[in-house]
Amino acid sequence: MLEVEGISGGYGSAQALRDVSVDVGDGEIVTLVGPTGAGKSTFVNIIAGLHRAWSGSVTFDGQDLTALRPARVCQQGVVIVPEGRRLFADLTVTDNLDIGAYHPAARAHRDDTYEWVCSIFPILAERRNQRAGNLSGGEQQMVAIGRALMARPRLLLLDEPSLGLAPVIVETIFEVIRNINETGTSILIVEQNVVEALELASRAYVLEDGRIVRHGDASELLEDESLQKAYFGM
Amino acid sequence: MSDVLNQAIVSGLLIGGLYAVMSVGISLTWGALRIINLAHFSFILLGAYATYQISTSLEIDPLFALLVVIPAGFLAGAIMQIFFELTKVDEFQSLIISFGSVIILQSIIRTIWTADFRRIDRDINPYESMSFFVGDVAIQVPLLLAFGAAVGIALGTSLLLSRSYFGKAVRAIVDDPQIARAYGIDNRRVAVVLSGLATAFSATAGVFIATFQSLSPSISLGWFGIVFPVVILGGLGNAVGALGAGVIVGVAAGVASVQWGPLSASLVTFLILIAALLFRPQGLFTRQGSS
Repeated sequence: MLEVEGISGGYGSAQALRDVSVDVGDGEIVTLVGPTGAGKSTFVNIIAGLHRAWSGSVTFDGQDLTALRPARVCQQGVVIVPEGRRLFADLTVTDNLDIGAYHPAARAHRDDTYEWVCSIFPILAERRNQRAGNLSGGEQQMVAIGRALMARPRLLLLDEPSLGLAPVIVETIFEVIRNINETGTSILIVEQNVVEALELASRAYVLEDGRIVRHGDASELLEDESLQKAYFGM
Repeated sequence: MSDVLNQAIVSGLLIGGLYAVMSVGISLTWGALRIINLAHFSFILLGAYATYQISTSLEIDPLFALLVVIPAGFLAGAIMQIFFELTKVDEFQSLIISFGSVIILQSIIRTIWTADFRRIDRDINPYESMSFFVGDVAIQVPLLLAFGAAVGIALGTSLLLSRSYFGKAVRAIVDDPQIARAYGIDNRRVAVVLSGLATAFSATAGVFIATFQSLSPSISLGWFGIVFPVVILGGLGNAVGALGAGVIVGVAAGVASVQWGPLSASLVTFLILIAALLFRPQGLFTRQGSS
């Protein structure tokens, strides 16, 4: 479904990614794990069109996304939940969700999708007229995911959804991600919360210093001793 | 004395409406697009001269000029914003560049209409001296019309920004342009439309000015000291705030004029502005906590 081939990229002259290839199958949950600064955010931003790759290609359902503007990538069904949530803090919860449904195809189904998002996150219906900036971190993450769902994604890119959240909230968020996946949406999740991410995903890639150093079934990587030493401190 | 004071308050209130129409365009583009577009002053003046010309040449009621001035203002604002987008100017570069355009447009106006005072003939302008009394207080009709337009613009703009998809897009761009783009908002198109709308408001102010005032190319210089206090007091990008601030400045300057003489009007206006900058720099009408 998503094929990312040989991506290199970075900022200025600082190279963050070297020849990174990742693919996500239809209905799959795939995770990209690695330490801070490994290039994970750069990678998803490139897929979403928010950042340009130096070389390599991004293909989604046979369509080349590499040179598309972010709005076009979103219309193709690849939608990002950015790192740090990046909500429109001055807008209400409902307005944030409406921005998610901005493009015409999503706007046509706005009411149905809104109802669906509120059934996933009932708290958002309660908070609908509050400024997004006044919500708790967990609620903000729910708005961020809800906003992305309003765009009716076929592939959801989640950039560090657990960042800054209490463990019990992280569990809720991950449970919701699993439920969203069960409705048929493919997921690519970038995490430094390695154990949780590996438990959620079916396949995983490990990114270090801009390179994929391991990939395989998430359950196998979870058992892998060298990985356990490096990431879980066991 | 109290009659004079009442008159000053009512006249100040009404002219405050005109101040609001003059200020709302600058406030919107400054607040939402981070462009300080001084050319709005030129477009107010151009709107006034266009009204004078249309009304005089065609011998028609000056308010008919709105039919031309509003779309022309929209177009001018849209073109200016396209220029700003193409040249990628920042807030302070826009101030310098648009100041240059003020000087150029003023020269153009002086070339076309000369430096002589221009005034729409009373035969075709029924509004100039039209007024009625409420008790002992005279209501000047041209100012009342401007006040009505100010209320319409303030409420209309505020509804547009809070309710419509366009308004949500504007506010999303103000918060985080990159993510707004990622969800399909064409930030350039939204900016061009908003700038067009803002400039149409400014040009509209010119129409009302032409209905009761003599025009000369230099009158726009005197507006800086009114419009900037109104924009800052009202809060950037806040149309209803601009109306409130226009009324405060209008009434304060009017009352100061009758109490301490016309020269004190600016003094009082700027004292209010300084006090506001000290105690409420985000504007009098902006909710605490929002930008």
